Amino acid sequence: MSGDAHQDNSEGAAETHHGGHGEGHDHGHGHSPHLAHHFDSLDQQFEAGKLGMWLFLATEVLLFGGLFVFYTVYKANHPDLFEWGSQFLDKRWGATNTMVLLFSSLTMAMAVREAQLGRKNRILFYLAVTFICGLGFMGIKYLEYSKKFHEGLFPGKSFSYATVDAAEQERARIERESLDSLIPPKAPEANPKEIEPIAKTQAKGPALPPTGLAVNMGKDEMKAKLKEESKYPSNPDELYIAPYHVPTVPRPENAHVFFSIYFCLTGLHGIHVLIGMAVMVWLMWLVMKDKIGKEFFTPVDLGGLYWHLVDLIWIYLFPLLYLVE
Amino acid sequence: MNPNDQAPSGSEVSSQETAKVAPETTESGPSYLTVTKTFASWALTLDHKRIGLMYLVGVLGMFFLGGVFALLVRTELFSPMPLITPLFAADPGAQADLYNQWFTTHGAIMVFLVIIPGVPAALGNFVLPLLLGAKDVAFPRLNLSSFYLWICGAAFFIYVLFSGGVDTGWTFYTPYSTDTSTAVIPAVVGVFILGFSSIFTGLNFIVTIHKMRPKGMTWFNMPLFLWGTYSTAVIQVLATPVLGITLLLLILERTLGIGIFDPQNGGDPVLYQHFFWFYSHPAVYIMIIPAMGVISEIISVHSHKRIFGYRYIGYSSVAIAIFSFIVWGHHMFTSGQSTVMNIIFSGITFSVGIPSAIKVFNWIATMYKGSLTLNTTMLYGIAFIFLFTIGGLTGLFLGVLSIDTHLHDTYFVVAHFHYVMMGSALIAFIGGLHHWWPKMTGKMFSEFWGRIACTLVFIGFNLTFIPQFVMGSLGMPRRYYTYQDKFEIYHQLSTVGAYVMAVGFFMTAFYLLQSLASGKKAPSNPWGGNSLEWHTPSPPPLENFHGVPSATDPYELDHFDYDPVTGNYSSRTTAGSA
Amino acid sequence: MMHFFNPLLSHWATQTGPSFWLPAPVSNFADTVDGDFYFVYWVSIFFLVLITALLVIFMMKFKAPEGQKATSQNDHNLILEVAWTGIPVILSFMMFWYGYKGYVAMATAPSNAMTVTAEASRWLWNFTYPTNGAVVPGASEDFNEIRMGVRDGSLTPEAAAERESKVLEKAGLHVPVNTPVKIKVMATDVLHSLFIPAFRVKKDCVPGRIGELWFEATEPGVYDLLCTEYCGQGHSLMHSKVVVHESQESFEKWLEVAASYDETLPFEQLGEIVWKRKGCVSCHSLDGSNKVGPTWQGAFGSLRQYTENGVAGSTTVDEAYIEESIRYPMKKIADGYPGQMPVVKLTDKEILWVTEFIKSLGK
Repeated sequence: MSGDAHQDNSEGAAETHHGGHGEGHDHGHGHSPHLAHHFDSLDQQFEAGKLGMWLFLATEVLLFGGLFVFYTVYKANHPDLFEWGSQFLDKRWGATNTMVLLFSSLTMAMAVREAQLGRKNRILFYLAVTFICGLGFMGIKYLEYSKKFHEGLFPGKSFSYATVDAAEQERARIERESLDSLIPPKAPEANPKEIEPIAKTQAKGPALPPTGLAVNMGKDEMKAKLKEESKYPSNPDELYIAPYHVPTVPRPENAHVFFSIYFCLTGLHGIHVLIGMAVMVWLMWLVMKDKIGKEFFTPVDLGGLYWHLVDLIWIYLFPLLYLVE
Repeated sequence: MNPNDQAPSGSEVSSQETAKVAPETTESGPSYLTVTKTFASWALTLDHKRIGLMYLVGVLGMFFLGGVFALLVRTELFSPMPLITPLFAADPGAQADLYNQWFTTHGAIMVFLVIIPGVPAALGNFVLPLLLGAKDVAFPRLNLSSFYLWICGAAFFIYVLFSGGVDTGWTFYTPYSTDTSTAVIPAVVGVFILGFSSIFTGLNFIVTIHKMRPKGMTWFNMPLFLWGTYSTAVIQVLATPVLGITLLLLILERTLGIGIFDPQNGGDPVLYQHFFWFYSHPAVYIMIIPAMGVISEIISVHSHKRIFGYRYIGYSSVAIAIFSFIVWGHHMFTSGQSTVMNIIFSGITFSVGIPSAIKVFNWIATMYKGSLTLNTTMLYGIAFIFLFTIGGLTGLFLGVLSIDTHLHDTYFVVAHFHYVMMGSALIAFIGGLHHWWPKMTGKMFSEFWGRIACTLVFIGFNLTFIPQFVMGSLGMPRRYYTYQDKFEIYHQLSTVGAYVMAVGFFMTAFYLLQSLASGKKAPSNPWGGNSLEWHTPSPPPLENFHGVPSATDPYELDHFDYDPVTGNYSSRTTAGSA
Repeated sequence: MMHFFNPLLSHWATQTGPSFWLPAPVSNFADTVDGDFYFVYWVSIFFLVLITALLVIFMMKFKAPEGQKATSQNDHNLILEVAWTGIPVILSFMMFWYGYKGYVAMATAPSNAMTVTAEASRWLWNFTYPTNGAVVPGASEDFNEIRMGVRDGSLTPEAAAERESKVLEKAGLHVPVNTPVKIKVMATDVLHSLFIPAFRVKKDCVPGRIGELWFEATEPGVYDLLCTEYCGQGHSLMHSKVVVHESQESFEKWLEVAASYDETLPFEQLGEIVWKRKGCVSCHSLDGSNKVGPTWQGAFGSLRQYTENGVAGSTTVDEAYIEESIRYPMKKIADGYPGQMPVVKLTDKEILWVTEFIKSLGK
């Protein structure tokens, strides 16, 4: 039958083709234990794995991309929100975490390099260091989060201003004192306008109308002065919120949205760090079972790509959230 | 030398030395259906064909469920007075709620569980590696997990049905979705999981097409179905994560009140719409582009003629995929987004129309001077061209800013997207199902009943949705439980059409099931196609091919001889194109 | 509006009654929208007929039994391909252009337009006329009752018409003919959308935002006003009417009646109507939340700190303080609030009602 003939023909052609293929890539041993049955060669399998990983990373970037767009939209519409909110984030912890992750990226890269060379103990060492860095990062995040929760800075409805209010009132007191000391000779009535805005800021309730009604005048000068003077309030122990947290910018409407965005972004990133740490454990297990060697290091390579992405996202998060001025 | 020596452990096929024996005359070893028979061998299979088949069963089951809700909705709308909701609820408010849950369930099931996975995951999984001459997709385990994620998503939907339903409409618009007391969270979690299933499938297909093409198959030598699935996969991978994060935020908005979408907490509901449509507009193309790929195959093979304008069709798939990312705003012309944005989105929207028009003309030109076999499959193909033309042309009305202001959120829109999503995407799915049915099951279905059912579906479909165009442009808003008397006649016609269509689909179900039991044995190439899946027995063996196939020109269709006894097309020349 | 681009279709555009496809055109936009609609319509019909004819002809002409060879394997034709790419490009650009022109006219209301506010809530409309602060309900319930009444035969068409005009005396969106009217749309809870098919206008009502649409009605009469954005249980019942008065005078006469108070109501209720109509609602809440001004909940009898000419003082909130605050809002400014209250001219009666209303909100 001609159908068979056709099939014969195509198969014949394929046989030769396959032979050529095998010589080209398999280097004589086509049945590597690492080669899955549906791939022709280890090269093809590695290439496929790598492309798959890059695509997966693209989806991750888009996942975070969505959140970054939310960030951008809210930043554009309410810049004051971010100026106010970022004061509650501790730049020092943020910077430390950035360093930790950058260092872990280095050790991860070293792990990949050692995997290519097939040096088992060194792979294990570098993977372990990377894991510990991840642990350190999460530890610092834990400290930061628990501080926020103590201060009542939850995301969403459970957000509470009580502690912030106390701190803001303290700030207002310092402000008033410093202003009083600036204009000691004059009686209050003589220059009521300069005092008024402070009084109003102080009285601001949780959901005051559109921002900045009260603090339009002298905002910049006041800020400058406060920067100098209010960093060290008379008795910092009275404040739950640490001195450098005392907000110097008036609280905008819907201020809690800043913390929603903060917790969503860092929370999602934190979950990714945790997954990355699990991947490190899995890789260490593979290495210990001798499933990874010179000729098959794909998992370490791909795990490394993932870890670098997690690192990269933090590099963006840190300035976007902590360094808003 | 024999590559089949690498058959996976645990499978009985260790060697396929008999490959060179004709499949029609001698049994050439077990097919993928019969090679193992235990339940676990199906449930834990890594074989793309079995996974595709399980997807198919699941998708068809969900299609039935979604269809039931469609009929409930249509039956209720037969009269403006409460008709069947009083059977389920006594209070008039609860009756309206029930109706709202029906149309939401219908929409969500059909979009997320049927049409989006329909062609890519069910048909694509089965056919894609075969078309590539590969043994499997690049990541078989990921493929299986993607199927189980689909099951998991479907389970959430079933749970929603039993926990009081959800009544937000399939779009989950805020702030209604943060406010309603129905089971929004399980439904959204379901969609979120289905999103992952979709991403994994897309990722798998991209890698498979990139890395597993056989030697000799260039990009412009691929069957157009592969161009379709490739473009689709790109959208699935790039758009779905954005839906994921949006739904995640919706869940957080509902549980924690994070103030991103809900205006009461300082959020912006229009932002939700932007994000939702940034995914959901491309999702329309996730539905239609692979359907176009199926139609390219069907029209060419059953006309026994080379596809007209191969490169145009291929490029236009990619063009549509790219444009699909920048037109989402046309769903929001009346939402209050800025005038300038409306104008830009309207302009870009028309640019999507042109590649679609080109495709239609190409398919028609393919038929010209062909040798048309007007079997069931081809009838579905031709029905698709007609219905897709209406779907596309009515889309023009909605792209024109001034007209859309009048037509937005009316039944005109409902009819338009049913022409695209059902009349086109789903009809192509059913057409593709018939096209590959002999390959999947090894059985031929009844042509007689097939043609009758196809005609019924076609008539029923147009009867259902043409009246909806008219009442929509006359001012009948969508998602209405009750309506003014002047629209009654249109609704009644529409309901009758829905039942005609249902009869057609039930008939299809019966003759397809009957073919499994007593259908004629299918030859390896019943239609005369030249893409690689027709070069292996029906149904194919576990690793798809006996030997490694070499790529040929998939649209070289005139070198076959038809054998009326076996119903097989076989190649006249042994030279091939190797 | 002129249809210079499409003289063939002028008879469609100038028709007055409802057609098979579209409701009767009764606004300044109807001609443009209908003209655009029929332009796209005839282009679509042309291509649909062309494609269907080709499909049918090919099906008959090239139908062949299994196994027969195609007579051609040609797969390209440059002229054809250029034509079927080029023509759709030109046509779709034309469509975009007409739509754009029509839409720009819709997007910008003339500066002399009369403004009405339409506020959507689940599941009712309220229309506010700023000239005298009248708040007129959409009366969806009445219209639905009438519709059901006609349907089950308990109302004859005449009786229904009579009842409808009775309802419309104090309900619905009323506008004068041939006058530009700008509708500001807003929502209090979830998304809604205001749709007047006869005018071809539509705008989503988004909570937290103010949308805008405008039109100029060209034909006196009563038309449907519907909600087109899904809003839950009563979505399909948010049905009201637009009344186009044949003259400015008759409209103003109606407005005067609609703005009058039903003095048989208890004072607290009248006070609430005043609170809504006169705009107190935008700054003074009833639920204890602070807006631009102090809340009215529990205000009466409470102690109020204020600043008068820079001097702090305090008083109990009583009838005299309320009246003074309404008549001279900038005199005593409550601490913690910006002195922004405008002078709203209330009659003595209205002040009395408002005071009773505030009293009724507890101490």
